[in-house]
Amino acid sequence: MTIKRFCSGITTSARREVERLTTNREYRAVVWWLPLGVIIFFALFFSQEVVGALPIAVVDEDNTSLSRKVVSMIRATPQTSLVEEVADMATAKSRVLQGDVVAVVEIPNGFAKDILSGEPASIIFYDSGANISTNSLAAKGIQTAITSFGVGVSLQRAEMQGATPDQAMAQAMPIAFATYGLFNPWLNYAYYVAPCFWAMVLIIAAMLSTIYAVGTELRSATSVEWLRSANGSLVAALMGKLAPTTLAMWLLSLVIGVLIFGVFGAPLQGSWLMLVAGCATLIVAYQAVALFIVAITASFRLSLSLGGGYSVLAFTFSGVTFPTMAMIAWVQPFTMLFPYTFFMRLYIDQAVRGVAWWLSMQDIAAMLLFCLLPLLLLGRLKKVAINRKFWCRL
Amino acid sequence: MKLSIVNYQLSTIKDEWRRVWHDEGVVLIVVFALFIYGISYSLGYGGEVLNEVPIAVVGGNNGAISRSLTHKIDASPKVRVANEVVDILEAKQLLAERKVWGVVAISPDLDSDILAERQSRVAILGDASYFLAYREVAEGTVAAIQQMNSEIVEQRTGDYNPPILYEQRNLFNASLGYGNFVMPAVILLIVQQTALIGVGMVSATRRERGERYSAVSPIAITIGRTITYFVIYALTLGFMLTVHYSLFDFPMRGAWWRCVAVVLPYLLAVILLAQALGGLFRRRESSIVWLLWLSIPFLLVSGVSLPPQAFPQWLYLLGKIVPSSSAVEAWIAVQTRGTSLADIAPELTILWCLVVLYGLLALRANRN
Repeated sequence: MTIKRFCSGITTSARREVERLTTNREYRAVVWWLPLGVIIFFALFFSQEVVGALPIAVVDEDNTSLSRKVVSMIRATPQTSLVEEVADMATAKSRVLQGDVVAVVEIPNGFAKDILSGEPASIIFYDSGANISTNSLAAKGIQTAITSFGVGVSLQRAEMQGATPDQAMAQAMPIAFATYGLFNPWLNYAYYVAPCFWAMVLIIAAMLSTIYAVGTELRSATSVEWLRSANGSLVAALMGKLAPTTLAMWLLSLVIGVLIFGVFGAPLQGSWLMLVAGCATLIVAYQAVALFIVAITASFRLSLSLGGGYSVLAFTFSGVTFPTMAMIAWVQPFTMLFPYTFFMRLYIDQAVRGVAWWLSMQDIAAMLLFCLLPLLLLGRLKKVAINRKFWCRL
Repeated sequence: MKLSIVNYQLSTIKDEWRRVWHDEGVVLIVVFALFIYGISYSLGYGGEVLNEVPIAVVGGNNGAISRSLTHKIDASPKVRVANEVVDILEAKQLLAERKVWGVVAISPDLDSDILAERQSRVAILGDASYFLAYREVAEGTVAAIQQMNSEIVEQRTGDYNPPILYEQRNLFNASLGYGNFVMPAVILLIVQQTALIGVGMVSATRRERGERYSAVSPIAITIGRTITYFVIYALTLGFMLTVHYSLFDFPMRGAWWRCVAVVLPYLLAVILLAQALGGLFRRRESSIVWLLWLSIPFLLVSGVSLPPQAFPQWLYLLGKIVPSSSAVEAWIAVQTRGTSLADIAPELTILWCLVVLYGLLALRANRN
């Protein structure tokens, strides 16, 4: 009988929530249209497949056939194919200051003379330093071009001294090296950076929709009516209330999954089952934190402010763009205050790195710990729901 | 007569000032959020440079030369040899468990190759799923190998002249830290987000409670509201751009009047946009619900975290309707690179155009 009452409570509460969703445009926007819109925005933003060439300035003070060769090798490097040749360093610097070029390469006078006489010839790369990602791309491109030019010079020298091509290689570069990007050899933004942002949309949606679902009951003093619909059981009332929005969040995560692995064609290296489980746990963990915040503050508006801030901060403290090990030592433990951190570890391990599925169980367990938070405050949440002194507070 | 106009205008400022300070929800967002977020983000990005990234070396103990190479790699400030293992599977396991971020595989024949003057090989495997760490692993190891190469050639031939002396110099951001790079943009974006949400909350609260403005003329109302928020943000943002900037050692290369030339139109454009948008919200908390989503998109379209070349140009151009896009570019030019005002004239022009555009829209929104 009680179980039956409990179950019927869940259904009535869920039905009531669907009714609220159909009559409230803003609620529908928070649960579905706004997150969907931002998800599509990120898809458009990352739709450009290859990083376009970066504009750089070259100052060829030497202007000999050898220095022209260097310039053409820089031009032939995909990252730095947009070469603008300028007359002197002063012009080049002003082009950087205007933001028209991201870096400058200087080939000083006497470059060819040094090479022909066997002296080291210098080439200087000026990094504008204002944008880390652009600069490291440009630096990588220039360095590749100049290293291969240098190896070419050494090869010619050795061959002129009568070495065979193999001996010449061993002389020019006794230890050859090759760099391989492991786990993500495509180095593609859409495979790695975009999922971090899509997961952010998911947690903001889970946070705001849960606070909205419960907070609006307090705001409009309908929380008793809501509890009554679930035969007075707070747990049944919550399960019913959160069922439709949880379903919407799962659908959103499905949309994201289709975008990552279908539309953008990112390879899936690990277990898809762990990714699905991870997504579901992430959503539930943020819903749990949302309930915790509502129970503590007992105010819709304050919950939105705190919950919103908490979900947005997760990105910085997750270690995805700026690695945790590089953070100030005492700041590092704070990364564990956000379920998003554990989800991104799980995502990268399973989708990108393809590690054994059971290694990600610890991340799921960590996210589940956040679900205990509202359980500690169920009594307080019920008090807030039935005591009119907590209603209409803004 | 003149005095009455002044009094009339003062009353609109007093009215708005009181609405802000008597509302704890608004004070939290408009005044304190900038400090809370500004300090949190700065701490989160505070370590600045990545050093001593742990890596594993495979085959580093097969002879004197390979040992010497391992030692050179370990001596690099960028990486640290955390594990020496014998086979690559073991190294991959360490990677999977996040104990190391890269693997350097030295050919087992390195010593005999070098002694026989044959070319030998080293493979550098970096964990590209964390690209800042990947860059450190690649750069640190490559530098060590190049140093090793020049020593080998020097021993063989008596002297070593590298064909090219390649030098990397830095024009502006000396430490190349992540915080230095991202925080100037983030601080300006926090101002925009909190102003849009906070002013929106004040507008909607007034509408929801059916309260009227103390003045009749939309012009007087708009001027009064703009002055109120301008004073608040000039103080809080001023604190962030001076005291907070010095505490965290962010780059400050612009003269004060150049900084003002950027911040003045930016604050005006943001505050007027906030009033224009405020006309759309019916409920007190609606501005948070509708605008919280936009922080990351606004950061992205400004072209700071990813260069404009990396995303569709139409999105970059469309992003110019948001004040932060031009302001962030102009601010980084002035403060990080130390440019003159003439070089940021296009951005300043856009900002002043936005002031006019959003000013007109704010007039429409600020009616009784």
